[in-house]
Amino acid sequence: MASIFIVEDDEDLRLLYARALRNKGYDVMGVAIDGKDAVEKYKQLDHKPDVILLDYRMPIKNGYDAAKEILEIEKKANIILTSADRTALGMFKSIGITSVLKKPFSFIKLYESIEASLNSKHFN
Amino acid sequence: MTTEGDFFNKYDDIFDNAHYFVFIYTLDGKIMKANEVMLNAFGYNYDEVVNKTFAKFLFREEQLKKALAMIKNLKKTGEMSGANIYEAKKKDGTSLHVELFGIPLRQNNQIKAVLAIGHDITDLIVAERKLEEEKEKFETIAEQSGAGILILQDDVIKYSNKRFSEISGYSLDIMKYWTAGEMFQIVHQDDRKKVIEQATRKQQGATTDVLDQYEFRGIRKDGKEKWLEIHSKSINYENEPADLVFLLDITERKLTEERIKKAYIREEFYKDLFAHDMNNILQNLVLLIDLEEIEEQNREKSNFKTKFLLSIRKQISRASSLVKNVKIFSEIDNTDINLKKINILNFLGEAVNKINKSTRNKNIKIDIISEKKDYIIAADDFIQYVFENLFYNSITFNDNLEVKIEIKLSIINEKNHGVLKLEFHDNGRGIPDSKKKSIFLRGFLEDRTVSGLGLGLSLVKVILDRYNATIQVEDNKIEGKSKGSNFIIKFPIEAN
Repeated sequence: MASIFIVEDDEDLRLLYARALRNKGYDVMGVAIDGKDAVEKYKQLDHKPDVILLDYRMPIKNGYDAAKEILEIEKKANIILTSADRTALGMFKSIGITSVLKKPFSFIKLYESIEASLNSKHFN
Repeated sequence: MTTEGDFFNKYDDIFDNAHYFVFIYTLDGKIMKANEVMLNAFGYNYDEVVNKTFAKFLFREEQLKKALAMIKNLKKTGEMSGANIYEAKKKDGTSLHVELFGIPLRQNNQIKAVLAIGHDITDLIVAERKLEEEKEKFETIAEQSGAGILILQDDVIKYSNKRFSEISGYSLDIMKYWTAGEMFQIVHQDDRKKVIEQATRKQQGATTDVLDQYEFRGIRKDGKEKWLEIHSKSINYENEPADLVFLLDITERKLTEERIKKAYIREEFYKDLFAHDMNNILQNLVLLIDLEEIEEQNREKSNFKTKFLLSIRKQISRASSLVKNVKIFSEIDNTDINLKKINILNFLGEAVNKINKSTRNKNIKIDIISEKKDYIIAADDFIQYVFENLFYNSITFNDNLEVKIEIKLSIINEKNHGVLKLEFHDNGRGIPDSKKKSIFLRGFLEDRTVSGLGLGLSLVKVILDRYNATIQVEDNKIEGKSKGSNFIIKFPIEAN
């Protein structure tokens, strides 16, 4: 089953994402509490995740800066942006991230988005 | 025997060779001889001048009176005064300014006539008049100007207008006697080096590394700080380079800019609250409902419902707390600071009672360690939110079965001032070093890296700023190990 790395500063949401994704059979291989934590943990991972679920507005380092650094480490990293901030979408598009989940989204949308992202990865 | 003709003709060499006006007149004002230079300058021929009185060649009656007075004095003292300037009349009616020196001509020890030598100074007089007019015009404009104007040379004020006096708070009479460099006392210490550097270069007439315009802080005589905008350039003043300075008081503009910047940051902050915090709460609620539907079939319904409802309640409490804090932020922005003397222990006690009532289902132990019954500080009613938010923070971010909070009050001495030190220890999760400073700054920075940090501690900071109190957070040490946080607040003490 596909592996997922969750980057979200809201603790309740981190727990809910992880629980729902595990219920669905995904391997939640790690979580990060902000952009800085995400980059540091991503570097340490021997096996990179199939999908990164990445929030935009986070303290210390936001999702955009974290995404840029992650893409420098692994240019094929499969990132899904989770944000309610429309102004961020253009920025993410400029670095090649087009998978976006606009908060608040349902679990069905989350699964669909992950599956679509995985399919596009296989296709590529 | 010398005839009158011989007497006057002995100066012919001077008449023929001089580049100046040369003429001889008798003591009754009659011109006896005149040279070509003079005739050409006045536009007359020889016959139109000789044997005529000089009254014909002078402009206005006062010029004639001046000449007669000079002759009267010569008759009386036998001496000529130095150079005299007359406004003379040319044949075409226009005026000619001449500077004349007279030499008495004596015969048998009697003054018989005056040999006058002079030159045309019309251009000089016109230039001087023009200069005078320009000076008058400059001073009129300068005195009416809304800008402070001064001319600086050798670090001394050579000229300053009334407005400059109003801006600096010093009278023109006092500033007139300032010695070199003394005027820089009106510049704020932190900006003085830059201002002196620029003024020096302008006074030297330098054209490189000079700023035509910049801003700096000024200090008035009464000690008040003013923001000033300077426009200056090198000029020539009394044949030496000088610095012509225009100063605008931009204090109001600066304050307005500050207010606009603050409003911009606050607007971004509210947008951030809705884009982040409120949406995360909604996201939690949506996912909780989804999860309830997914897991309902696989679990004991009653157990799950209880957990589910607790989570929903938690999110509602989070939303309610967020709305309350936004409301307090807004109230603080719109409330003038009007502090009163309060006993901090009373407010602390009320906050403890409130937190105990609202968290009955949690095991919370709060100890207050205080040596005195009264700790008087200058504060207002907003202080209750400081304690409520600190309690909320310690309880919410705590994974222990028993939440322990210990509040210690003590009086310490800092920089020769008494300070109330309030230490707020908890056994919660603690705050990572990377967030220890920024956790108080949400809503105050343009920097988005504080986005997503809790709002409560920023509210605590903004309230404490009203009281000139400070806050910092350290790791709490329990038996030598880091566990939880220690918020340290320092209040200036008020006398009982």
